[in-house]
Amino acid sequence: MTTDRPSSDGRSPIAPGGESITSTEIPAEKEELDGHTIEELSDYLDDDCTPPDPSIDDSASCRIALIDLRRLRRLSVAFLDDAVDDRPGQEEAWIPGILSRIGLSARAGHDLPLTPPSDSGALVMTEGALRSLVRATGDAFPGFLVGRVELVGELTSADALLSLQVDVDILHGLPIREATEGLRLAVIAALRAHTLFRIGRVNVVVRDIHRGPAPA
Amino acid sequence: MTDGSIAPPRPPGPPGAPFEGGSDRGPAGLPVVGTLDLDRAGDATLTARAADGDVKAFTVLVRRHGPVLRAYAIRVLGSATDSDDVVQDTFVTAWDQLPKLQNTSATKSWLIRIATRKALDRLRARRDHADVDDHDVAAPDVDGPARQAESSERDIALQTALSALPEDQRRTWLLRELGGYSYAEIADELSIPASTVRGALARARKTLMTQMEGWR
Repeated sequence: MTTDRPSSDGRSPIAPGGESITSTEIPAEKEELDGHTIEELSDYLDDDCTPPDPSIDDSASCRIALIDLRRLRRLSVAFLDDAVDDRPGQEEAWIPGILSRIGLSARAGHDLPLTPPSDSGALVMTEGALRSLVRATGDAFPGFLVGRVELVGELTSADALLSLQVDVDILHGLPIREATEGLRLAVIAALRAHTLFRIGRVNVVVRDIHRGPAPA
Repeated sequence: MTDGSIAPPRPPGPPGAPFEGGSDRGPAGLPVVGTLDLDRAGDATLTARAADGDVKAFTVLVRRHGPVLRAYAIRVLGSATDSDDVVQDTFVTAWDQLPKLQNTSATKSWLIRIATRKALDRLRARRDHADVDDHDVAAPDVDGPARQAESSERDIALQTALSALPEDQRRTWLLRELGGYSYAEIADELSIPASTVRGALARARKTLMTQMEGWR
């Protein structure tokens, strides 16, 4: 990854003032670095030193600065890594605190009518619950994991037209077309079983394919 | 979570059907090639589910990213004090913002950005109380909690060098090197001109390169 190749010589290929350089903030630095700045060298490092710039690569002082910059990068990475608490299960302690503070009801969305309006009362299901039903239906298929569930339609009456897009991850090895069609039909069946909505388009979109675990 | 042992899938079909994987058939007559659980899902899928209200998917994100967020908070704050609070505040805010999140494929950097704001807020609050004008980060607390014990002498040297930097240089460096911010994003986050970011970062790197000379 790094290119700490030894110096051929220390000469600068750039005559002073021969190149226009955008940053003029630290003139002393440019003299030290054969017309370059630490910023430029950092950018060069960010780009993995490509395309090669001979005015940097052939400068001994630039090469030394690049070595120092790389070292600082490694220290920065270690600096962060070393602060990671690797005691197993430590992060579990945060979860109750976080869950106690998040607004679950905010995700419920609108109430969707399950029955026609009546004087005796109303049966409704939240959008969140409907999404949850679709997720549970899809997740029950081994090798599937449902992602986003998008509800499409003006779901203001019990017999409204409901269309869906269901994003899924799928395990490698399943016949994708057959499997997604099976899931699609199961989602439709679940919606028919639990709601009176007319079911429009139900699209299943495979977002990711996971390799199975290595054979034992 | 190891993938070596696959829990028997639970198809939505009739209970009691044999289901061992391999060539057995699952729901809709599909072959069973294993199961996908949330721990194996990518951030994009988990984030989409969490946006739809799936708390379990959200807790997987907490477990997955919490430790690095905490490490980042420790480094930005200069000590472990308040770092757990920053992590928890970050996830509470993340939950609220999830439904509006457009790009679910960059979850980690999105969380880092929330954590940055939480940490900077804490630093501002500290400074307001402590009545110091520039050095909002104390020198590292070497005798601090036991969880800091893993900080090596090298990390302490870097923390000390950082804490001696002027505020704009220190923050710019932390956001760039540990937070992965671009120059423009730093300018935006810290409300300073992009040219100031470039200069501050170059000076910070120069100083740290010198201060950290000799550390590997």
